[in-house]
Amino acid sequence: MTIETLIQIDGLQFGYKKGKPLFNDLHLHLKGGQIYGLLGRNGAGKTTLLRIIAGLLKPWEGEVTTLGHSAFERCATMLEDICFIPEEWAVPDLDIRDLPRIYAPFYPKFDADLFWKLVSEFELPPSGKLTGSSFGQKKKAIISFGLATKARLLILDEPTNGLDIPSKSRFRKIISSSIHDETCMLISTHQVRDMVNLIDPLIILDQGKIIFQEDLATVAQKLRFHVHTGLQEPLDAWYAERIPGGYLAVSENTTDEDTDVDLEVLFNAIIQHPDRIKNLFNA
Amino acid sequence: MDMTFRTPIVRHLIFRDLYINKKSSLIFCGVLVGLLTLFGTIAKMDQSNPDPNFHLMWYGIFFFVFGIFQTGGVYVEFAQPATRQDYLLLPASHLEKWTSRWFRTLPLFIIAYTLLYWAASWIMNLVCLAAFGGFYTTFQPFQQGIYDLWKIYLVAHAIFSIGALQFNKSATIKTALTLLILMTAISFIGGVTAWTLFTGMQEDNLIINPSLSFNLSEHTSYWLGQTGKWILWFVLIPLFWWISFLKLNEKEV
Amino acid sequence: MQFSDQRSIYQQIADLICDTILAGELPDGERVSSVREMAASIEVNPNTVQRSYSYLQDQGILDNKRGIGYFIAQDAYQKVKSMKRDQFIKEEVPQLFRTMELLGIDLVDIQTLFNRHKQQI
Repeated sequence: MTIETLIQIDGLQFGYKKGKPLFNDLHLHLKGGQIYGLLGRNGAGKTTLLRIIAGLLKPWEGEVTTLGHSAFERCATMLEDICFIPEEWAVPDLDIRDLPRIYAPFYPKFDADLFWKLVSEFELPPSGKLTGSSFGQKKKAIISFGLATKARLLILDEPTNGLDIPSKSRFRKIISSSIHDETCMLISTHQVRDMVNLIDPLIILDQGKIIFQEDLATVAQKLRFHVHTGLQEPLDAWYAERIPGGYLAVSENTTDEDTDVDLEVLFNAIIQHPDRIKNLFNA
Repeated sequence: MDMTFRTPIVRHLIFRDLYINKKSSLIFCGVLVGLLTLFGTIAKMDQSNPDPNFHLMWYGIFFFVFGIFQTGGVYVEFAQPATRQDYLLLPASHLEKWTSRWFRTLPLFIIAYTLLYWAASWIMNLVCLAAFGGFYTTFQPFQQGIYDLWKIYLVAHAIFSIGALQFNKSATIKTALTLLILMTAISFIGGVTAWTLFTGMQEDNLIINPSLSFNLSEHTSYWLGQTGKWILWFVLIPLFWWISFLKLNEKEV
Repeated sequence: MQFSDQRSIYQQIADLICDTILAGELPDGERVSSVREMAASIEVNPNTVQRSYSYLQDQGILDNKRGIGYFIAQDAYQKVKSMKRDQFIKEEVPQLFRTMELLGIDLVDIQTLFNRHKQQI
């Protein structure tokens, strides 16, 4: 089975103010069967990009094709297959039991058993007003509903925001068992530590462009992450971060051994040396 | 443009709207019954003989007030980006979404409102019966006056449908203000034009000089009026609805 | 599950399975958890688990029966043992020697320590 390209963005230009584009000539192609992690600094436009993919904003220029449809047309067939979990969800005055009752008819693939299974995995009460519950409880309810729609494209904007520690772990379990070859997850996050070992490939958005898009196996092949004991920063390091035992450093991998990729260190290294990284990965 | 139209989806959309708005609908029913009973009782105290136009007037007033607020606020979720996003992502075509709200604010509203008014008028009469030992006046929905109100409501509906999508926040009030400004501007421009055109006429009489006026035969003016009506009902109103539909298509978060 | 630094995740998962085999908890022919089950239980991207399984399959430790799942291959125990021996000799022994040199410990000291360890068991 060939794996489809689910999202195709070419030459995207977009901004909120005339003459001040946020994205300029942005390209992004995403395939099924992957849990993409979208990283970027504050204000880089992660949420904006997610909204453009879901057809919520009109591109100035360029093509945005989501699940084979022009995104901004927002046709029903595309929307049925998108589950967008925003950072903050505006809950209508509903009971949790109303979610499958009121919203499920719009999703032909909705799986009510899965919904209730996820609700109990998140230890949510099976009834009760959503408006009264905490931010984290609401989030768990909408994540459960979203996964139960069986949509092919899952867009999660800062999903672990507001989740407590046990819920974060359940969230990771649920996400890692929910991905299939024909589905694609796109998770934007600041909390990379919450998403460690889960998001792969990584996409980094900076200064209006996608400056990095690689899977972690390739990253481990090209870059070596190591703990350097000593008081001096290692000489061969592209980037090093102070830790109690010395330095957590990243340098070019000249061996054929893979090391564990530290997402935060990688992110900082890329943001500091975008051109150097680009040359290494394009070589 | 995606012109998918599935009746069950439109039904689900309407059901969702009614379900989410069940509280405000109940408040609307309560307010209508309460106010009508109040006005009916006051009228009964004032006059022993019922005013023949009592129901036509109050039916009309409540109809327009509630109808315009309902239509202007039909896309109430657009007030905030989060709720706007939620509605725009609901898997239904724009045509289905637009139709569901058109249906809710037009045919469904007229039927529901008329039934409710009829029920409210009976409650009012029962209160009058208990208080004064007699009915005040009963409501007759099937009469020309009511049909005319419905026709006029179509015009208001078409205008406020655009307003509902033009403005994200307090759409009804903004639409009403825009309308007021537009009408003032048009009458002002009209007045100025007339004044410059007919400035040579007698003072304190700006009415068109009979010598300048077009002498239309009765036949021609009848057809002119008819054409105007046809343009309003079959061109202008559908055009306004179409514009509001296009605006929904172009809505962004 | 807490992962140590350094070794990449897919290798750590492979090690986990190898250690379970060496401990005798996974006999030959035993079915191992599916990629998805394993991914969920250790909260890891399924593609990473897939990579570990493929790696172990290449090493002849796992068998992939199409449509059914992964099973412990014949003589997996022996293979893991020799693989681990190789790894010990190639990676850990030189490291040990380097430390010994650094701290001035010679083979005789090690021999004494080893004998004492044996006696304790």
